[in-house]
Amino acid sequence: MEEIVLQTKNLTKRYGRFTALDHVTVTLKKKHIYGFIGENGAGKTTLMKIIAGLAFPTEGTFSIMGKESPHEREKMRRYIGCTIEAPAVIPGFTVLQNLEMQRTLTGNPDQAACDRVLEMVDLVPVRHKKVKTLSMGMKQRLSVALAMVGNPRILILDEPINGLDPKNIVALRKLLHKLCEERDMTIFISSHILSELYLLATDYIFIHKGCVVETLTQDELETKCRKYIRICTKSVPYVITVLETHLRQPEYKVVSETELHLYSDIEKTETIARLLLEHQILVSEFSLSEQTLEEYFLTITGGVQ
Amino acid sequence: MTNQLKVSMYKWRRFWVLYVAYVILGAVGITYGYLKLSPAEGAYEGFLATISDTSFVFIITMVTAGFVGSDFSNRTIQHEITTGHSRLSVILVRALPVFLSAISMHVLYIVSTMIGIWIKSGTMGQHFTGQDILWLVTVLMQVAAVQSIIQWIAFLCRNAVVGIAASILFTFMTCNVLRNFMESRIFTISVFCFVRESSYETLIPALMIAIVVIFGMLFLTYQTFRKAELR
Repeated sequence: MEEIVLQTKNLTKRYGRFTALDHVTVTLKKKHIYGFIGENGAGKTTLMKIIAGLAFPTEGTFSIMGKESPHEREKMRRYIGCTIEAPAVIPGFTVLQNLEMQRTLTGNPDQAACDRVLEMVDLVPVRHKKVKTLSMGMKQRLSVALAMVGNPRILILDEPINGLDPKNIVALRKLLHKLCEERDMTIFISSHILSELYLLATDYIFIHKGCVVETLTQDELETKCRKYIRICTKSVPYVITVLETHLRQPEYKVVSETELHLYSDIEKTETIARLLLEHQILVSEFSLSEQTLEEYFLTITGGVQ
Repeated sequence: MTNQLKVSMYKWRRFWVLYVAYVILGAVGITYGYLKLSPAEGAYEGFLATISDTSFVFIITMVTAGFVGSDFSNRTIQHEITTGHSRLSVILVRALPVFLSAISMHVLYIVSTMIGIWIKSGTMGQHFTGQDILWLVTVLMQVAAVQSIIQWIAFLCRNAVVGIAASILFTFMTCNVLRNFMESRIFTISVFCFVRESSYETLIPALMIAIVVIFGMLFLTYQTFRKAELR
């Protein structure tokens, strides 16, 4: 059985009449990478803040490494590395000074830890530069380094990809995979770049208006992401007529004036192609496609009309 | 908590505002001693003139509010919480550098005034007595007590700029303005009026009040901060 490192039970957070989190129950297992997906204001950061001890739940409980009492949880936080919202650094201090302070706070006795994480996030050349002189992307990488310098078992990263260039996004992805594999780390990461999360995560937690609407593994997501035939043509209404005449209850969606997605009968691609040809419908594109994570998220949260 | 204290002291040693305050208070003290005080009684005169002087407490206040508030503005205070340190220890590890800087600044002001007058007169004048030492200790405890109130204000504001503004206003109202209107016994032994005489009847209650204020304010700061949500 896989070890549970973090678990929330009916976690609720209200700010006056506004409910930021509504009975959120999630379980994070060791050596998994959880992609935490939700719109702005869905409650992602609030949940991360509660776990990190920066905010308090209105209702519900949570446990870290199996410890549920507030005092024990506080002690267990030394095994969590996190970066929440913008990088929290002293701008007048150098990169190394900020990291050294964090290493001391985490109680990590390994003096080489700072150099190691600087190398991991590719910040060695600027280690003696003041943080205020760094670019946004560099600050973001420093923020990830700060989360890692204490050798945590759980890494909580809130929008760590923001401000990173493509090269660094790839490097961060590789690094997180490596940490998960080699150090048995559990990673809880939120991002709006869903295509990137798709390449990174092993599990997904979808949150919408404070409620967890779905939790899926990568395999489950792949099964659920529906395949469809993409038909691009200027005669969408005529295509609909043809499909409805020749297929039994076709399931489709009109995406635009020139694009239609057919979800049923996907095994009959040849038949459908011949059908369109026989009716002399000019098709600019005809392909078998799959819902992306982004599209799936929009489907389950009602983001698509 | 030891690690937290190490980090807090590290930041305190590198807090440039503190050194600016040292330079200002040192320069003001020397100038005051050299130009304004009579050299008749020597450097001891400088001690008497500045030990209970609250005119520059706002500078000490500014350093305290800036030091505590900057961790909120930079959001670096969240590192201490997220690495498993208690909220009480977050307060305590700040209190020590705050008290140290406040005490050292007031001592610097007194000593630099004495140096200013000594340059002019070349004499120490009257010698210090044991009672003077108790007087100094009492005043320094009062300085620390005022700063414990400022630390509470900084934890209440949770922003460097707002905290500094609120603290300076508070110090002006209590240590500078209030003394012009209040002469009652309670005010003269309160922490807002550094004791002006070295009699035991004044020093002992003033010292007791200062100690009570320090512990009371640390408790109040904890109550303010224990359930506070951080950005």
